[in-house]
Amino acid sequence: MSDTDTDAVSTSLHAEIADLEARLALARARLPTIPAPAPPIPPASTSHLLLLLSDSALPLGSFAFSSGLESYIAHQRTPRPSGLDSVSRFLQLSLHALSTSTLPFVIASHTHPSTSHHLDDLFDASTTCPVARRTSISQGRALSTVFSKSLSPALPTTTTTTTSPFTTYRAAQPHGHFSVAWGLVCAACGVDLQSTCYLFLLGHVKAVVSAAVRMGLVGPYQAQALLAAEETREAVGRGVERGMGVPVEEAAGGVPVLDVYLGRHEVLYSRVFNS
Amino acid sequence: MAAPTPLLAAGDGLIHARLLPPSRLVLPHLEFAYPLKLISTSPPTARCLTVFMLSYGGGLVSADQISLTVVCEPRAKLTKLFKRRTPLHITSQRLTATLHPFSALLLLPDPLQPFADSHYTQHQTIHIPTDNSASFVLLDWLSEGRSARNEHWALHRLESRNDVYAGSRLLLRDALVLDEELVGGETLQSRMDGFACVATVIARGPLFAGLVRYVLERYQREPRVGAKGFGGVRERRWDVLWTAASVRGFLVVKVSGRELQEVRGFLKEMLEEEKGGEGEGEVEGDVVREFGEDALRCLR
Repeated sequence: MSDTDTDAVSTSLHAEIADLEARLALARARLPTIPAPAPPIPPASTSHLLLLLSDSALPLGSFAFSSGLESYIAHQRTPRPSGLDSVSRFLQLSLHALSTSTLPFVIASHTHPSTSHHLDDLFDASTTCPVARRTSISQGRALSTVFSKSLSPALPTTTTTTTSPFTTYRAAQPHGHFSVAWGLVCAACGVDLQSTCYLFLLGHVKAVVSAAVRMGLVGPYQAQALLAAEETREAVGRGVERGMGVPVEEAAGGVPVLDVYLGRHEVLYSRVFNS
Repeated sequence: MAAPTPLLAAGDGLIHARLLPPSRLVLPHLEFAYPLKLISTSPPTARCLTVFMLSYGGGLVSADQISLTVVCEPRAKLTKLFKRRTPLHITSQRLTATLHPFSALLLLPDPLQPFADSHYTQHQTIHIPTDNSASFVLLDWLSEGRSARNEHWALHRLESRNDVYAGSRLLLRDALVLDEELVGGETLQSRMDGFACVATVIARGPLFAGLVRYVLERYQREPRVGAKGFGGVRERRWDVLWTAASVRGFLVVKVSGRELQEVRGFLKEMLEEEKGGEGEGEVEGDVVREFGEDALRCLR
């Protein structure tokens, strides 16, 4: 083969490579929502993040919310049951309600993070109680901010690039509901679905019990006993299981009286909490 | 009255409301198939068209499925009233209503009264035009069952879903699932906290702007819980607990009461925009002005 032939072949190969690269770039550009597979986050790092996410200081500002407990207690008829009985009952009912109305959105957001902004609007349309909306948005936005400012710098860079689901979600200017943000953030931190769900419901339990202590319904030791109790653990486990069986299109409240009590938080004569 | 059309599947129905200028409302289509029966009683001069929905034998029975399509053409006004008794076993009811610009729909059924061990699914979907010119009021309510037979929330499963779409976007979803599963050892009846009736009202659109304002103002005046005197029935005209909110351009009202009659009375007063104690010369509320007194007959 002569030199000129070799030159011609290599020129045409170069042209072909350039063409293929251009087409590859174009194809990549057409698929902005499909991120390059992120390198796996080391398990040690994930469990470290998991422990951070389970901190009762998260989501930021959660101390301001009682998740409906305050209004529930205010609407109890006399004679009122004991503080402990009221709190345990409220926990059981609210976990049930949360598992069928909200947990499905956590699961969907964790499983399909690239659809999070759509899920966020769907959740917004499905949440008709203004008190619940306010709480969810305030906590969700706080979580998003914590993630982008504090947690994401600790993650492999690909999870925070312009094509990551979280960036797409933020760019779509979502309402910012907590359930969707939680699923998304946990997925980005490499937390598995089961733990994501369990932690979501446990976070609710901790917020309610903490509010109950500040309302003087239970003492601090009773509160720890309630958190540790087998029935609480079972209720959280059952909630996760129930939520796994409900697609977002079928998400629905299951305890209508709780919605009425929560909605009437706005007409309490005096209020300690924002919800 | 048209005979049941054989082309429809069992339980299917179609209602088509149209305005013939200047002011005559007609139903160019009113079709239905057993076990569904639709009856229109409106005189030609009525302010709105009224269609009653009945089913043979007075109730939905096992495995009946009702699927109803409603179309309100531009500027048409339609009231749909259900005369329904009760689901016995597995029944489902689907309603899809398409509202064209400047049309209006009132959906005011009798309360659903789920029998013991019944399994019932109801999906209602309203499509509104994206220009926001259509108006509707939807009432969805259920009672504890046949309390005279000592049935209190003894149903097997009940699912009720109300969706409103503009184009392909879901604007609002109100969904409720009740099932007999024990929660923390509590039965469904126990979780209902003594309430015998729960109701949801959803309203939107220019024709009901006055109603929305009235309800939100009234909620602002609701006695404060925990203030002196709360809980005394004398303080409140109706023994109900309720909330009202403006959500994504909708008015959403939730009412629950220990007696069906208290909820009924409250809803009637709310939809009539009763100002309370001012006597004669009151201005008519939006619903009565647009649809006439008869539209509220399920609340008497």
